[in-house]
Amino acid sequence: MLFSSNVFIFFFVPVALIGYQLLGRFGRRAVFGWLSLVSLFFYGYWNPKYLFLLGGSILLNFIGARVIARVSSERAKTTALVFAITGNILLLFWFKYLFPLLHYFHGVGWLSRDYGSVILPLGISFFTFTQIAYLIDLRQGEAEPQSLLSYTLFVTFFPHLIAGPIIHHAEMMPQFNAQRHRGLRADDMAVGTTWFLLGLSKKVLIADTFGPIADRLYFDPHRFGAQATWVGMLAYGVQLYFDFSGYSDMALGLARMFSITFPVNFNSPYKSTGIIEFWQRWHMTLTRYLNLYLFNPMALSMSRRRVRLGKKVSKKAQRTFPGFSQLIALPVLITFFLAGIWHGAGMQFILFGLAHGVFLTVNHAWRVFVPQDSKLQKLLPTPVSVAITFACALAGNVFFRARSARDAFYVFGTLIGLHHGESLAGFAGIQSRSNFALHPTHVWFALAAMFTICWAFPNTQEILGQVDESERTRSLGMNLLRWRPNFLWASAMLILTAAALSYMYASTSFLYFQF
Amino acid sequence: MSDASQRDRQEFGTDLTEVRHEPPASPWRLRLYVGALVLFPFALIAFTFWWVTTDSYLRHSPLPYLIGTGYGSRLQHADCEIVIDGDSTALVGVLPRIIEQRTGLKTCNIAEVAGVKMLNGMMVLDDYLAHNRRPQYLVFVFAPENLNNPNGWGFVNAWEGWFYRIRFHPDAAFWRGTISDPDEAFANVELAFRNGVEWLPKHPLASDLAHERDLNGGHVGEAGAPLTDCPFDPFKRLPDPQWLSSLRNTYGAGGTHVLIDVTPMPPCDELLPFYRAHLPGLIDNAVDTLPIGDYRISGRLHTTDSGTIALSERIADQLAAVIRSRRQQMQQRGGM
Repeated sequence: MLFSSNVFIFFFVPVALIGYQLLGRFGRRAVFGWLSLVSLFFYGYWNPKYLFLLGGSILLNFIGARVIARVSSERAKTTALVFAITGNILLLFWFKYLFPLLHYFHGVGWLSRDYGSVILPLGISFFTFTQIAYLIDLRQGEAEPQSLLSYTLFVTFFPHLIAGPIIHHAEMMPQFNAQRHRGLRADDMAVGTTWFLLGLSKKVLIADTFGPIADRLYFDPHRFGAQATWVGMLAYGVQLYFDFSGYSDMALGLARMFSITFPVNFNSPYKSTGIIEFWQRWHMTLTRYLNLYLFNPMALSMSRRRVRLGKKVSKKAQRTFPGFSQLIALPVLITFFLAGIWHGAGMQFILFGLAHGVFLTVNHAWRVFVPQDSKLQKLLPTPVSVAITFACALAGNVFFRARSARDAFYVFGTLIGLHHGESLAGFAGIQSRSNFALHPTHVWFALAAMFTICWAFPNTQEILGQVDESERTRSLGMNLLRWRPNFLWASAMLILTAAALSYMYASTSFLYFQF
Repeated sequence: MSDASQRDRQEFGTDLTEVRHEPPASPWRLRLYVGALVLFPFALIAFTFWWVTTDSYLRHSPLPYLIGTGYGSRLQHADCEIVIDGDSTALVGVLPRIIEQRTGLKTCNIAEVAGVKMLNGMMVLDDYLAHNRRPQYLVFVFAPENLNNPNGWGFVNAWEGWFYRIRFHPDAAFWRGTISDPDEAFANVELAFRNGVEWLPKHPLASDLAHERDLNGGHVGEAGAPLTDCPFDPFKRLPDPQWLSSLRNTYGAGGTHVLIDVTPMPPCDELLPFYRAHLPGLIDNAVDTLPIGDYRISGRLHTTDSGTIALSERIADQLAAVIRSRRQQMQQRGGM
């Protein structure tokens, strides 16, 4: 079920909220049972068959968690953890990579038979990652064993089930357990509904307006000349930003309606002054996951290896070429190579990961080798750093969105004038509300307006007062835009809601749903 | 003070990010705010359900075909001798005036856009037959891909069909459909709301355009530049012999002669050989062509003024031949 669908907004959410309010008086188990039930319905609405997959995954991981919690020897705990993680990765491999790989082998002639494909179950990466994190946390003593009901709710709670944020057990379940007053709270409902509706507006009014322009470019990039390719590429920058930002806002808003606070998952990434910061602001819970479970173990392993070889692992050691390569560059490149593979089975996704790995390595090299007081730092005032970071993000997006690596390189070629093709007229025939792409003045103005929103204005959680003062970005109009549950805000929200609902018929799936 | 605040004070002499803190809102204000946000979408849907059934909804619509939706359902005692039914290619492509001139028989065009047929089947024709004398000739004109059950035409927007239904037949089946597929039904309501809001600032159409169907025997003209090239058309759908046969059986009773015609295609249409291979024997005309310039860019096989005249003349000639043949047969029977 899509967050931006009528059945979700008009039926599912009201029923889930009413049930939560009514069952709250019957205690924790009733609330957990109800929320698990509606979350399973939410997942099964897409394809009931895959409920068996989700249910099986939950059950096997629950058994794995039980074993880890009950066995006494450390070795047995580790063995159980390895088995459970292997099972999860095999599941992911089966649905996400095996058939594309077999198809590729068939294509190059290594296999005579084409094994076809399987439908990628919605959210499989996210619920698998969530459960792997729980198992590791449990093994490290950072999570408690749970009852099956509590564990099911942790995995399936619908605001994070399909596309994150990737939640740690300790971030959500203690909130459910600690709720003395179970039922809807006016203050949380006010913040939650506003958050959700702002996210819905971002998705439906902005992302879905720019999406068709990008779709047209990437469907056949060979058609287009430089201007149209620049427009299409930037349009994808807008689409992806507002799609994921909108989704994150909706997820956080939905959780908040049930008085659950999720970790922020999207924090104005285009304001970043470096690609390291960019990844700390873009899909923040995925970055945290990659850091905790891929980068840190690899960096630690490299450090131990150096120690065994009698080499230093200090900050000073990092400033040598071998030290930097082993302690930072290699773990970063491997982490982002794997992150690229996670995004999809295709060379373009591997290149996407590697490109970001290289950007991050360069950024780390700058951080490590160029001291803060160096004259070189003055070459990069904030606007220049932001522009370079933005350019890197856009370049990564080309690999991320293109249908093949060849298409991606063709787009790069057109961007620098190597290929010629149709002008903006090539966008003729796209849906009427995206027709502004046909007029140079209109489309450049629209893109400039969108990027001004990204760069200059506060983000949703800042507007809603949901971040600490120390975490706020530098933005214009904070006092003017700050949310208050008053008549003016209610009126603005009603107008936005009416506009979003009016265009919702053409809303598409969220981009991160494919992962 | 945050880092950002400190940086701003150093650089700009003021804190761009400083936030004034206000006391928390009272519980009643929060409840009022939440109530407004939660109830508003439902109120909007309910309002639109009512709004589209009013005459004021269409007052500013720039779409003559939409204003004329359900023309066949509105006709009472029109008693046309020839009735044209079909999809939008018939609606914009067949001029009753030309058929009347060539056959001498009163002609009505009650065709509707594909969305109306897709959602409601032959409801308009059934309405017409319930309130008028049976026609002598009933001509169905469809685009080649539409010679099958309209329920399966999944490629067009069904909004006009929903619009027709709520204005003319908001019966139990309609509400059951709304409940069983709320995503689709509510999407139509939301589109109706958006259209209504977008039309409000527009001037009402001139009377002749607003009443075009009443003035032209049901035909609706269309604007739009002529085509110069064949667009890529993904409309490759086989005809359904059973459905076509059921049309003849259902509506051929009571002395009505049923003809099923296919709209001509441009010669450059890549599907022309496909339909020439699959349609003969199932339809009453040939899979014929009109020059590419006789079609408009605005709709699939929608004809220009010259294309409309050419298509209407072909149908008129076909009918004239059928009428002559039937008269001869009757005379022969009378002579025996």
